[in-house]
Amino acid sequence: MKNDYLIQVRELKKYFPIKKGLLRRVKGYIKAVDNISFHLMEGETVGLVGESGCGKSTTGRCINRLFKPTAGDVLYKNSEGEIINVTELSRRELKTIYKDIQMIFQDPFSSLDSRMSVRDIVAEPLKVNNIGDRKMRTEKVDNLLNRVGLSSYQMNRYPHEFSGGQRQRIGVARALALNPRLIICDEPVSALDVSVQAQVINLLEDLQDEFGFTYLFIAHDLSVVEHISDRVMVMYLGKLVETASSNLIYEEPLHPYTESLLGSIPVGDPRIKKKRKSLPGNVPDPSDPPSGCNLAPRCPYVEEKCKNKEPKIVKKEKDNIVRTAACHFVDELKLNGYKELANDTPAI
Amino acid sequence: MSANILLEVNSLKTYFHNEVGLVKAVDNVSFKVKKGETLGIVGESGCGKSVTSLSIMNLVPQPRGVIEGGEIIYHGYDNPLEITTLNSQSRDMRNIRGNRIAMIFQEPMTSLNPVYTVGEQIMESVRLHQKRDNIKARARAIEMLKLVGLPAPEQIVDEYPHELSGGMRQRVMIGMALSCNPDLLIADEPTTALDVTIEAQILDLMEELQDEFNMSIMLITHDLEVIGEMSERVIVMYTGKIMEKANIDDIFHNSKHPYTQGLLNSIPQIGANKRLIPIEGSVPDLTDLPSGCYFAPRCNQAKEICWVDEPPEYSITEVQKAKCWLYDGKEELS
Amino acid sequence: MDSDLTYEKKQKTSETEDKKEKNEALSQKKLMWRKFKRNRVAVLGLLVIIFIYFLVGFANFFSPYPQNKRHEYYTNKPPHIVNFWDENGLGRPFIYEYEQEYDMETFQTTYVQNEEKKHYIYFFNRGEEYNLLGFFNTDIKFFGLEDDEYRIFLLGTDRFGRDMVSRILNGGRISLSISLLGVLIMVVLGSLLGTVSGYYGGIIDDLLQRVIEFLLSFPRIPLWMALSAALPSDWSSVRIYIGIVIILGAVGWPRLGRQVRAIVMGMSDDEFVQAAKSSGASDFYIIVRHLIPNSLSHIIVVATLQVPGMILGEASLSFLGLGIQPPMTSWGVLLQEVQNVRSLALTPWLFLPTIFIIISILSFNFLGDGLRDAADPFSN
Repeated sequence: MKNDYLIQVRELKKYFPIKKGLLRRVKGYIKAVDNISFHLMEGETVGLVGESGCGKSTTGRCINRLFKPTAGDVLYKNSEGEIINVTELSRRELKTIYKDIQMIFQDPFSSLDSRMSVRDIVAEPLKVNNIGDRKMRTEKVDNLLNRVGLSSYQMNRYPHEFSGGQRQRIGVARALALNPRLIICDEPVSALDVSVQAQVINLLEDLQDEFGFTYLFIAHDLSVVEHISDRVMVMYLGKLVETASSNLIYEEPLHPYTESLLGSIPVGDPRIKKKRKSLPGNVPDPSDPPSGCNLAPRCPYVEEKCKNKEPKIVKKEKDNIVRTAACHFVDELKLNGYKELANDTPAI
Repeated sequence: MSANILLEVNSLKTYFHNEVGLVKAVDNVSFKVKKGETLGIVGESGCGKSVTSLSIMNLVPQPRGVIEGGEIIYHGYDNPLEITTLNSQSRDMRNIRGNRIAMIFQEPMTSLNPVYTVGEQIMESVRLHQKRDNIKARARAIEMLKLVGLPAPEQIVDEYPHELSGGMRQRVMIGMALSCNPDLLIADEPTTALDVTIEAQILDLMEELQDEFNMSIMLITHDLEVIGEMSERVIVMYTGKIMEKANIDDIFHNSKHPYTQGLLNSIPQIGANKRLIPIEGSVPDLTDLPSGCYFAPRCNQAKEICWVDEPPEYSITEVQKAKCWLYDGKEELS
Repeated sequence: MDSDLTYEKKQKTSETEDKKEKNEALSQKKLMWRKFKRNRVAVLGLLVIIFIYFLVGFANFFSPYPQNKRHEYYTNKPPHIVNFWDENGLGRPFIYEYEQEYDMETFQTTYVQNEEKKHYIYFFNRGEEYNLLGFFNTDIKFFGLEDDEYRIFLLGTDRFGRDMVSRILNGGRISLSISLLGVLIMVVLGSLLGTVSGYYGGIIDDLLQRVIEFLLSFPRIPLWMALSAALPSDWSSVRIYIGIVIILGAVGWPRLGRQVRAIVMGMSDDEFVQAAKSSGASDFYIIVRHLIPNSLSHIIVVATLQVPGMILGEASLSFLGLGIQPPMTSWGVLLQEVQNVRSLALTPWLFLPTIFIIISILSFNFLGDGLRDAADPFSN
């Protein structure tokens, strides 16, 4: 891993207006992403976890500008070392960024146009950027398909003839076509069967070894994220509640939300009898978040202070590794890691 | 027949006559559900786990779907009742469905009718089966909503499904399913559409209610971990056939079938930083199955015979069975 | 040993699988065609439509006489009956001459076949010179009588002695081409505006939706009438023809525009559109390469189901005297000429254009239904 920033996100906000009534007046905002800052180092895999509606997909789409952020900066350092603020680029200037930042989507069925052949799908990024002629593009598609474990002859076939896992491989090949540096993986395996899920995870890992990609890996499945990521960021209701290296976050979480996520992971093995520890209640409406700490209404450790004051992000440094958590009681709370939770009640 | 069996499925065959050909969605499947237990059925898409549950409910989509053979015997009455002989819309079947065997689905939004309030939908199911008047049915609806842990049930009873979150809707579905005290609850991917913290809540709720109602649960899911948390016995299905039956501990620590082993190796384990070992290839098309064992093309232990003949089910122990040629020599069951 | 065998076996099956897979490269189009072919009624509809268009396309060839030629001695003749059998058995088809008889009591004319006067029908014989499809002049007709002493009227004649076969075929040419061109205009307007409205949203969408609502709130027939009444009366029949086409298309597009907008709106959130965007595709590329091809099947279905409406529209307008003007003929014009009870009683064959209207409308509806089912090849 090179010690160099690839992406720095500063105070990113994305609010979606809620329009109501006959005149479609703006009646309020859904704060999908609310003031988050983080960075991605070159060549690392960062996991972004959270429940549905927490803003993790929106964050990813703000980085490659599928959404225009409401406020904040996304600083990208290109291969020449220039720092570009992605949020300020015009549509024309964005073309240079698109080549470097690609995306893999969740749904292998809706992410491929069913009317295009595999060749056209994979070659599309090359075509819209006017790279190469038809022959060269076909050659490139051929290489890419082989690289993701498909055969050249499948080039002329159509998406409906492939299984979910194969379709996801086609999606990966398309993302590779422009030789990107950062790949945003938006729930790339959650729609796949268990046995196929592992194939795609291994493929992503191999490709990273070979080409040195940086991954932003967005997922809700904690065990998958733990497996693939170097660092993990936990999101709740539009805010980052905790970031730390993958090991640390699972062994000694600092935020009560992280702890409850770990406690909710189902463990099948009856010999690791684990106490299920779930959060009560439901995720609040993001257009009307609670005052103070977002988690306060559900937090098992809640105190008066939490309901009134929004917690600051606390930075902690240990052995040169920085981790952050947004909780008033980072130092006071003694939270359980995954292992401790798993052995909470001894096997009967 | 021993007294603690609630439901018996023998050599069930449910086929679909599709345009592309005959799809054997469930092919020669036999198992028993005991009173008060949780039976887990695990498998990937297209393995026939959902069709099995629809067959039990006698709700196989007509006219393409047909139960071609086998029997499903319900032992909840004084006399055993063969479900497959009943007409899907007959009075006897409707009495069983909802009243004795209830079902909850993956997506609670599509299984609740958006134009009726939550209360009206529970009340309807109560009225249908228990002949209570409106006031009593409403009281029962509120009682059920309270039981499934919804806050302010008196208020929620008059709300519409879209006003509730996914987790709350699934609670309503469970409340509705249990409103008539069924003996058997079939839960088809009950937590797949839910977030992990909500999933944990729903699983807790199902365990609590099982004790309270003393019912059996058939938990159908693709997630081995969820199965492991909930059930004592597990059935592993693949392409319409049962591959392995075992106790949960044996599934995780002493699985016999290469498919079960492959599934376990495919799941990332927290803390174990080792490379995953996926099952190669993908689930075959049900209209175009390989000869021999259907798993052979993906199996890393396949022998010559696996490509030619379908293996019988071998009995490894009293409870553990595996449909695999590796155990040739053990006692054959079918 | 054992494992080697397995390996070989695996190789073998994967090879055969590969071979099979190569043969099965089915595009969505092929799947749709396969599904369409299974629908017998729709295929029948398609065949009938092709047949009718073939007939009216070569109307000059299939009709024995020019449509406006008045055969003075043959007014209000009933259709001739074609006979195949004579005393020698099966032979060349022929007709008998009709002879008029007056019933002096009722003053009604009746026609009786005179079995002594036989006229044989010849195929590909020479008639009057005409221009085929605008390419070349010829005088070869599909059928006719060899001699000029008698005329053949398979569908009778009108009060001017004009041959109904010629008039129905030529009229069909106008009616069926007007409806196709009208649908074409409707499709172009509807899919373009619908796509723009659905893809861009915002103010453009609001504006277009209000326009569509405004247009849809008018009752159709009065709107047609008002618009065609506004066409200047001194226009030539060709200009009026074009005018009618534009009116039918312009009144028809909002419904299609709405449907296309809904489809495009649903698709804009689909991940394949986002994937194209995130590799830098322009809006134009996305609309042309993704959105329109994916809504095309729906557009075709809606368009096919709109053709009957257009045929009826033209017929209604012409029937009311506001559409096609003589000497141009259309099915509506033909019906307008028999706008009285007397014709129904005395010359019922003049209503035959109705049958043609019904058959073509039914065929288009059958075809449209079949296409609708085939448009989604993955549904069962």
